[in-house]
Amino acid sequence: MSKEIDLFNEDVQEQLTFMENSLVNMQENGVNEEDIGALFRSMHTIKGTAGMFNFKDVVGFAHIAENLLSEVRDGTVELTESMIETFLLCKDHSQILVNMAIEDVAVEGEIRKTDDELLRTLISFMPAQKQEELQKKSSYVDEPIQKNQVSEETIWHISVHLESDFFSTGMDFLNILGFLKSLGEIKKIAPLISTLPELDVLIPTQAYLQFEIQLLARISQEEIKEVFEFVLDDIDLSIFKTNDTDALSSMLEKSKDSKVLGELLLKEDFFTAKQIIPTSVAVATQVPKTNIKATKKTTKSYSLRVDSSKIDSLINQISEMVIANAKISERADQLDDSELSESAIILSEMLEEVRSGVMNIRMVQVGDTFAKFKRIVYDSAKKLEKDINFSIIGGDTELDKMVVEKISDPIMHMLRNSVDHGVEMPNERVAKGKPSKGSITLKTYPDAGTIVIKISDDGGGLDKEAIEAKAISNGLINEDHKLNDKEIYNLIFEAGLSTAKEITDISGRGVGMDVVRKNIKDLRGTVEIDSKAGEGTTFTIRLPLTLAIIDGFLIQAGKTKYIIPLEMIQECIELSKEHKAAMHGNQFINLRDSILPLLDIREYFKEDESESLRENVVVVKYGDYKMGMLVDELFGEFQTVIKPIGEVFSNVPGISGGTILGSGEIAIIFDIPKLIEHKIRNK
Amino acid sequence: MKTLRYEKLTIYEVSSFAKELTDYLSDAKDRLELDLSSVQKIDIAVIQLLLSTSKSCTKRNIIFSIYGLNETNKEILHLCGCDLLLGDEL
Repeated sequence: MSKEIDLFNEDVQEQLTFMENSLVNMQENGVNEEDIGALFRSMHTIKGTAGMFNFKDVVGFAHIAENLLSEVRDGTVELTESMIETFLLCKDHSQILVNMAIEDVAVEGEIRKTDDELLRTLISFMPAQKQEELQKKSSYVDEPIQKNQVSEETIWHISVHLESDFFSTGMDFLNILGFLKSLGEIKKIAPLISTLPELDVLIPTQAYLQFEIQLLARISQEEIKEVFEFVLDDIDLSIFKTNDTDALSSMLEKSKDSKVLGELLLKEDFFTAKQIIPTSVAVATQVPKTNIKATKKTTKSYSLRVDSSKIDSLINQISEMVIANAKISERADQLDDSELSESAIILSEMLEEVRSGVMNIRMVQVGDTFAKFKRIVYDSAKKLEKDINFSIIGGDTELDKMVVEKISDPIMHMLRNSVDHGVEMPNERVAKGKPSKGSITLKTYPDAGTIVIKISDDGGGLDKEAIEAKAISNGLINEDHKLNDKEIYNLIFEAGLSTAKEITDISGRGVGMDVVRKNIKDLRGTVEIDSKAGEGTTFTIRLPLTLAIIDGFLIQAGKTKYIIPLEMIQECIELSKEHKAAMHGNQFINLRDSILPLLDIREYFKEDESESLRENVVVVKYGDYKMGMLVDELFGEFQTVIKPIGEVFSNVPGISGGTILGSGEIAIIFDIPKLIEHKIRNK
Repeated sequence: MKTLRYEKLTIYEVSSFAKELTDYLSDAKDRLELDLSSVQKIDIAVIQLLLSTSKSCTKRNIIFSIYGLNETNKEILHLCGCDLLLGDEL
């Protein structure tokens, strides 16, 4: 895919999301002007950008949809429930058309049929006289697209001067010309060459060109301006009727080289000498009236799209710098050089700032992505004839964009499950004494260095017996298993376990929940289930905030150095003689009158006997669980760059990666959730 | 005649292409001929470069000609009113 197509695709995805959000919002909260406006702008933008790439099917389809939306916006057509649903289908169809256009696949067969049907439906919503006009065009593809607001054919003069940084917009001016051509007939077009530098002084990546265009079309000045909408900041644009001599003289007056421009316009027969010459004598009296000078924004937009791999590589570089700095710091300690040591500390603080700045670039609010779930819940509920109130809480929580994208599918699947298996049918709910309308909540909030995403429903809860029976019949567990409730619920994450009594097209095929867990694991996250019969189910997903670098705490057990993610550490205590005496060989201690299970790291990782004089306990917490880790030495905070440790170690439970210390030694990074899980299982 | 090996000539190639053209021009005596038959696609940045080359040639009394343009590229030049670049191929 070329760079421009990539940008186009990104832009379209954004617009389609806006569109969907507006539609779903109107479904929920009623029709409102703001959403109608957003809807119209999205369709309009899609049409415009697709036009620049000459994606005729997309333009043709979007054109009709936009026409109807324009009627809605003007208040001549009322936006009904069924129209909203049609527009939702149009959104899906536009996505298909865009994909096909990008892949250069011809629209035919079923897709063409859907296209025709949707267009017919859209047209049927239009006022009678507009319907006739639109229906006359059996094919929207091959005809020039014309707006119907202007009935009179007009000859327009368009002057476009590309500003020097035009090429950096990523837009090929030829596509814009192509789009202009589709709106009418380009009677004349001429580049202004006399102002173009010669080859030896030309900077090839800089734009110098100016085009004079004469267009015959049934469109308004505003509509012509819209063709240039995306590049208005990077061009100098004048549009006026060819018989508007005032506007012509105003344009010539403003031109840097009016004489040369006048000569070109005369030579290429754009205007007669009579039209042009008076302007040179009457310049002072000219008042620009109808000449639309593209209103340039006073400030340029500072948001820019950057390939995420560039940020990744920056993070990698910073990671390497962190390691190098750790080396300097260690060397400073060895040399007992306080100045060097101080510099290393300052550098380390600066690196931390740069790192968090760069990581911040990747952070996005989850609400924008999560809004699309509204439609999924709404559609699924409708299909199953259920009544569900879906709410999103904490949409402003920020998370790494990549993580948000990767977590979308698992969340979508879990939501579908909640709609399908969780929330009961309205009559069933009433019989149980619940309100007939079920509720599903998607809640996001930060918690101790992690992001928590909770999906709760107030449905019937998981059927423990059914899961158990199914797991036994599938051979996943034995009949004499000793699993607790939570562990039984977690079985639904095993492949091939679906307890749905009948398979619907929404869920229930037993594929998916295992994929859900795998996807979450891939993000170094965890998922838990809590369910109460008759009251509902809650899925809790915990995800790490960052992916590449963590703040760690360096410890030693036996001869190996380990890193514990700092945010999970609650406190460090010395394992005193009193503690030991009170243990009586058990694996827990009394910590301020509560029981703290201990995991002996030396034993767990089969380390050699310790030579350390004192033993320490690092108390870690993950979710609702606490555990003490019995280790030898404590070294303190250490900024850690997570490095993968290869396939050999990929199945060792309790290890999430490795890191390189300043001395060149390798330290192992603990996977605390896994270690806690191990401890709980073997309690 | 200089035969170009580019498959596409766009803003991404325009700098190196400009360098080549500058060299050709300094070597050219009375003609500068380009064979663009390998080029599938051109964009506005390259058209601007070709227009500038044409202008420089005219000033030095050198005949500038382009050959081997495919139909798409001919249409593109026509679309933006740069038929003059088509020269003999028109």
